Amino acid sequence: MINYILILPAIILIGIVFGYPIIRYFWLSFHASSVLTNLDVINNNGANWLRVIGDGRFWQDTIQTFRFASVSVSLELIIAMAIALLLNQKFRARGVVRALTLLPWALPTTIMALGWRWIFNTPYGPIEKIALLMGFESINILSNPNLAWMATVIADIWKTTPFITLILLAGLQTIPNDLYEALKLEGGKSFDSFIRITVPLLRPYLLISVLFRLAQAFGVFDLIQVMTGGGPAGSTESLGLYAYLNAMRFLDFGYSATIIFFSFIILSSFCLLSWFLIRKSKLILSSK
Amino acid sequence: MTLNVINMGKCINKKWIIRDISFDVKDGECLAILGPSGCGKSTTLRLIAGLDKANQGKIYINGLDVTNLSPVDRQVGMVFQSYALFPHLDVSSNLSLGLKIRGVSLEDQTKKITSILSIMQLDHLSDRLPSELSGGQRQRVALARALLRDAHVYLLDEPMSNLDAQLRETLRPELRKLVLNREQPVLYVTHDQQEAMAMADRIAILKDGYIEQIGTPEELYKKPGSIFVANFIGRPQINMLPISNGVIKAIRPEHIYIDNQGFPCKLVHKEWLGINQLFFLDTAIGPIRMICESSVSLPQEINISWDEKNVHEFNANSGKRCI
Repeated sequence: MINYILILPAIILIGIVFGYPIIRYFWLSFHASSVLTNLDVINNNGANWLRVIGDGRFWQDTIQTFRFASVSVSLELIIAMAIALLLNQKFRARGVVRALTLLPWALPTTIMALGWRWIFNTPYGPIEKIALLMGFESINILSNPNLAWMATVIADIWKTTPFITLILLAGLQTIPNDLYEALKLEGGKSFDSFIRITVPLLRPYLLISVLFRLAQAFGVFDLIQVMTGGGPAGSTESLGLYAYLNAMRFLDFGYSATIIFFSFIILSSFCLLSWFLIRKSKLILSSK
Repeated sequence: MTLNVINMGKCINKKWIIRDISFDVKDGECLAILGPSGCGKSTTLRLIAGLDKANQGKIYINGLDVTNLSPVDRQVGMVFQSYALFPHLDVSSNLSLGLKIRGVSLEDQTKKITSILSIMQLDHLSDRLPSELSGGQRQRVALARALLRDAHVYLLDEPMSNLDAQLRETLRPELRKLVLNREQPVLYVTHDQQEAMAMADRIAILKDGYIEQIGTPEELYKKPGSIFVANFIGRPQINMLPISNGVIKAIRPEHIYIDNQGFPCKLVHKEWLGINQLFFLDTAIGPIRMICESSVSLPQEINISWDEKNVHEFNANSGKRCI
């Protein structure tokens, strides 16, 4: 009984800052509340939900958000794994290098997004200059709908790879060295060690990284807002940004709530799936 | 099969961890490497396994110079102190992983694993994860994995240290039956002198990276080559008597007896150990430990004596045995 009482404050807090808004969004998604209604809340019998289903921009943004999240998270995992393996080796000034690796993550997103916006800028950014120097035509990355989203992915990788690196490095440090030595005595090469020991024992850490990062990347807002503002031609617009635009630019709170609630469903089903996978691998975590 | 180590040494950061280590282990012989923690026992084992490179000396397994061979080519079966079982694999996968990596056919894998599982009495545990096994069972899996290696030499790194005292004693005969008395030489690292004496044919006492003495348990007990060995082997600890003329005399507690003609001492404390009892005596030449039958009851003031033939004499400067 006492345990429930002790977690009660946390539950109440989560209920206030998370539970209530979600319920409120759900309720609001069945109502019209916009400039047209003088911001009064009027029941519109699910018209928002019908609108969402037929809204091409919403679905395009959904696809873009998934594309952004899946590409950046999977690249981040690969790069972070490589960096974590490197940082787990013994070398001079390892502590300094480890601290430096975290730096991009410690920067505020808006600051680094602004930096990347300038890096990709045409005609003043270094990438454009280098391309011109090497004899290429002007690339104009942030104005090209096929390239701009990749620029946002690159910026996101730069920013959040350190986070995954940190988690994976912590995971690597829990793997006892004598497991590798035992495999070496059995004839295992480095590749065998990686596949047979490192990856399976890192699985819980990989899943936690994926869970955290997918949730974050799926809700991406500030990076896109600062770097591209969702353009060109809406090609980098995320669901979070679309919901924000509906509420803050178009003052259509009912529809914005519908988008938010819909993304919430998609996102939480993702989280549930990851949680389920993590639970399955708990055995590995507890066996040390 | 044999193991010969000649002048082996390991140097890290200009400091010798072990140096001039030489010993031979014959086929079927078990040599215990015994010493306090930090004396280089595990380093010795790791150099022989090839997990670390020796900076000095040669290692021969079966007459073949393996000093510069990779660990896998040395064909050693090793049991790690932690057992180093793969926590994500069940017992049979733990055993089969090495075979799989070495390209043993699936059919042979199954055959070998079935046979080793039954030898080790692990049949009913084959699909358990290491975390679901008891300490003794984990040890058996680790042994099974080492035995599957078809090794030329077995290296056991404190295989009992993770087990509680009672289990240790029950597992000793089992370990002896399964691993020792095969045709391969066995190197057994331990810091427990009792375990070393129980398991090994010969014991090498290691101190600060050097071999202090090497011999059968009986030799070490009866003729300790130095004060260090005398103190290390035999429980309760040997009594060191005060220096006189540059010689330290030592007498084991079990060689002291009550003698009305002997010299007087005072009973300070006693430990009743069941099979016998240990008396702590205060004498003019310092504290002395004495072992008596458990039925004896002593007054506060007694006289003790010992036979001169049981006295060990050591040079006070070098700590080495005289004669």
